[in-house]
Amino acid sequence: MSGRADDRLSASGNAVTNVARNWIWFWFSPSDPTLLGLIRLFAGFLTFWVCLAYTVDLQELFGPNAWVDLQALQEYRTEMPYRARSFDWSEADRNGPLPPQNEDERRYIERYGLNPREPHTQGYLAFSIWYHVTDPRWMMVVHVSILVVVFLFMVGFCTRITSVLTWLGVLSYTQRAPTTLFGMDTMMNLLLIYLMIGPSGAAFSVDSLIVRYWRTWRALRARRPAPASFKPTPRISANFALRCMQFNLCLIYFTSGVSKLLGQAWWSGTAVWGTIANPEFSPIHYEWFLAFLRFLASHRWLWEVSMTAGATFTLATELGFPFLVWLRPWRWLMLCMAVMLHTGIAIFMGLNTFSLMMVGLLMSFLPPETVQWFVQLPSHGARHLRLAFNSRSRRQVRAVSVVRGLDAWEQVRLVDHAGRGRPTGETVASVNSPASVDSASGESASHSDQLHLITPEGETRTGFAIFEALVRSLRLLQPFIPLLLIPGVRRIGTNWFPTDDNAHVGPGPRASRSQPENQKVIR
Amino acid sequence: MASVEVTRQRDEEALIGNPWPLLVSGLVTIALGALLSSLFKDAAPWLTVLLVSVGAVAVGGAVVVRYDSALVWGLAALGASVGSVGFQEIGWDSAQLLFIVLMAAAGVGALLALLPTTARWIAISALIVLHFGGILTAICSANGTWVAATLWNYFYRPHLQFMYLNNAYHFYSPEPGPAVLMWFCIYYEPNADESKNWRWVKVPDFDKEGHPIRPDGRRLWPNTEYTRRLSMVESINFPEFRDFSGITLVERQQRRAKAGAFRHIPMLDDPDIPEYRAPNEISKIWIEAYVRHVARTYRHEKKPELAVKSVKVYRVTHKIANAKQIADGWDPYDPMMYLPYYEGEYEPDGSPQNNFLVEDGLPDPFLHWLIPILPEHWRERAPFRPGPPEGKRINYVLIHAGVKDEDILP
Repeated sequence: MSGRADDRLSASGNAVTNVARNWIWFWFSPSDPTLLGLIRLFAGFLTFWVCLAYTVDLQELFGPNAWVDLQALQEYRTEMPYRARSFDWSEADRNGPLPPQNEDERRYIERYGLNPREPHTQGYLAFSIWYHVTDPRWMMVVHVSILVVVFLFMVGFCTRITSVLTWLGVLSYTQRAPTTLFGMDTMMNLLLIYLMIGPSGAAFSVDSLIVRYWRTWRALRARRPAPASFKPTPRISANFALRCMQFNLCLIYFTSGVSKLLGQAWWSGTAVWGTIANPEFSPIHYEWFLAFLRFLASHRWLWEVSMTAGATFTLATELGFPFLVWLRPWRWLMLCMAVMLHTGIAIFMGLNTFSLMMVGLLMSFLPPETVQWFVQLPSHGARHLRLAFNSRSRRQVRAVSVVRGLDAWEQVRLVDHAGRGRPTGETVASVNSPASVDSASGESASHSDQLHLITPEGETRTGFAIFEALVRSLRLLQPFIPLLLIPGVRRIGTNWFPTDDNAHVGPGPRASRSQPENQKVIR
Repeated sequence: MASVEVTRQRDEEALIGNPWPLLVSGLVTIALGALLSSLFKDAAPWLTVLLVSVGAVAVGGAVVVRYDSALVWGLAALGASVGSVGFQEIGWDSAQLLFIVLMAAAGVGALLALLPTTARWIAISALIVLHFGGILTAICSANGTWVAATLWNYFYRPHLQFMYLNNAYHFYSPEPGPAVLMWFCIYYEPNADESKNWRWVKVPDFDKEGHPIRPDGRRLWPNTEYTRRLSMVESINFPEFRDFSGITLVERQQRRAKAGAFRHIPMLDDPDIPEYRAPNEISKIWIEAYVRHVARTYRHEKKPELAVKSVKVYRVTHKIANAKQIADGWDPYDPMMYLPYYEGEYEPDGSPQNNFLVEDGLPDPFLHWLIPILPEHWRERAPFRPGPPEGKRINYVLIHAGVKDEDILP
């Protein structure tokens, strides 16, 4: 990510040019979309959870007879007055609404305290599918459809489409039940809007796996080398979306901090008590927590120090973050402080999803090297395998492409037998490191035309055993290991993939031996 | 020439390189949906919704495939405009609005695609300023400047409301305040001997262990749904500072005291606690909606066949015990920590009743007044004695509601 204030180009030229250059650097320099993908995964999961939680309350919150029923909502959408400030000083002279001229105006004044001639406009502009779908069965159909879409967005399938649909789905809930909203909905909406703008499906997504599969398949079908790397291309739109998140987050903290300065309790340092002793939010109904508060309150000096420290920490975080987070030496400190603040909010106020959404926004400040470190975490200690195939076999090419698609941490090296006799120019060894060529050598001649997998221990597997070994080895597939333990799965798999030797066929030849002269090694 | 090569290379690498089949099929589907809605109106609205939605997704897919083509964006805008007509015909006004917004967005996309890089950056920069300028007006217009309020009203309001970007971000400011609860007393048809049938509904409610529950006793889970209930109640907590009724606060107080003396419902007389607090117009709309909901949803627990006659509403502030009170051993859930304000009695359809208890032609003298919960013999209690008052609490809400205590209220 290009979010480094200290990395920008050295200033030269006049001030206007420098401002323009910095502006362009800030908003329009390309950055790696991996972080955006990580945020999508995180925010997508939270969004899915929030939408899933609606399932129980679908009728109570969005049905025709919900807490805010359609009658009230219609009034809110069409009649709610908005009075603008006047362009002269006449509003200072006004004492009450303009006198009514007819019965309708009298009724309107009784209702809204305003003459209908006074408001600048009426009504609320919004979209929600729940304004129109009111039959309980159809509501459930739509709700499940939205859940499916949000799930697809979370896993990053057709992300450009599902991100927009997810936002519209969430907007539908939001705009239908306006009185049930709180900070979490605001943050979720912001995250979804910015994830919709950026290429959030470029990493950590089914889309990226499909791209891996597709590009491998296209290359192998054309007897070209499979792409050596699938690292997402840096994009301006990724940077743009991250910048929007960052700037919006700073705006949130700054506003929240500045508005707190208006409150006496934040100056006297007692505001934190108003949150941790609030019986509806805090865990005060637990004996242990009440005992803790009693202990604190019984020692005034301790109480005063704790409350002042809490208020000061909150203000320092909210007011300091928007300025200091841009400076690299301060970034981690500010991020840690913000995460601590939200952890406190989650524990003492029970606002878990709100806090997690804020963490989602905070992630936009993660340095690129941290993201890369995180991305590479699963590759530590990963098993590396070799998959030998014949690129003349359409079926094997497809299978190999699927494996390549699922091999997100590049644990499998592809070995093509079909290159024997092919002109050297078509071989792909040139794109690989010498080490790759060496390690790809060697499989027993009896398996040379058959798809087979060579484990790090030198064992060779074919048929369903390949599938088993891949599930046990590929990081992406490891969560599915329990499926292999289900009785009968092995038998069904063996029937589907019949071979002479489903079990491992013993140790293969050593890597340094019997490397065919022009055997292909494809990464 | 170079761009043609890039496009060709991209087409080869992309899963779907050609946007036209998607675009054309999407546009045709949308047009078909719009045509159906024009021809058959209300006969098959679902077909229109389905066709236009599917068509829109297909067109969206085409835009994803060829996002740098002004023609594709332009045709997408055309599709959105046709879709908006389709929704207009079947009366889905908000979907019509959505498609108008999509049309505008696609139009902007087409313009951006036409522009050279520098001009595109300038245009996007202008959009950035507009976007965050709008958010700033939402932040500042609440109690802020004339400029922000005017910009919000005349320019930004549609954008901010539609996108749900209207939050002012004033979290827990200026100060964190107490939470608010709602108590509804639902009156059903009386018995033959004119005795009352009633039921209390509290939002949110809690079980003995302090876990939030629904009015039917089921756990309110997950926590997000509980917070939603608290937000819901908070929406009736916006006060109205203007009063055009012509009744002064002193007059109101006299009427309240007189009616209180008549019904043995004292005033709290605590200078730190305002005893009169009327909600604003929007809060009243929500109260009426909530009344309709409880009247429709909650039957009498033992005689579900009884019809609802009226609903009394109490907005209850749950005070936060201060540090001294906690140190002195107060229970944060002591009934005295609850401050119930009477918000009126309503018909099941949500329309407010006016009970003329005092025959002066004016509304209910308890309306918007605090109905306190006090300890027995509270007037005789010695001042400045630490710790919570001993003895039984008298919840005057029960007296006001005219029902017996069933250990439901504090």
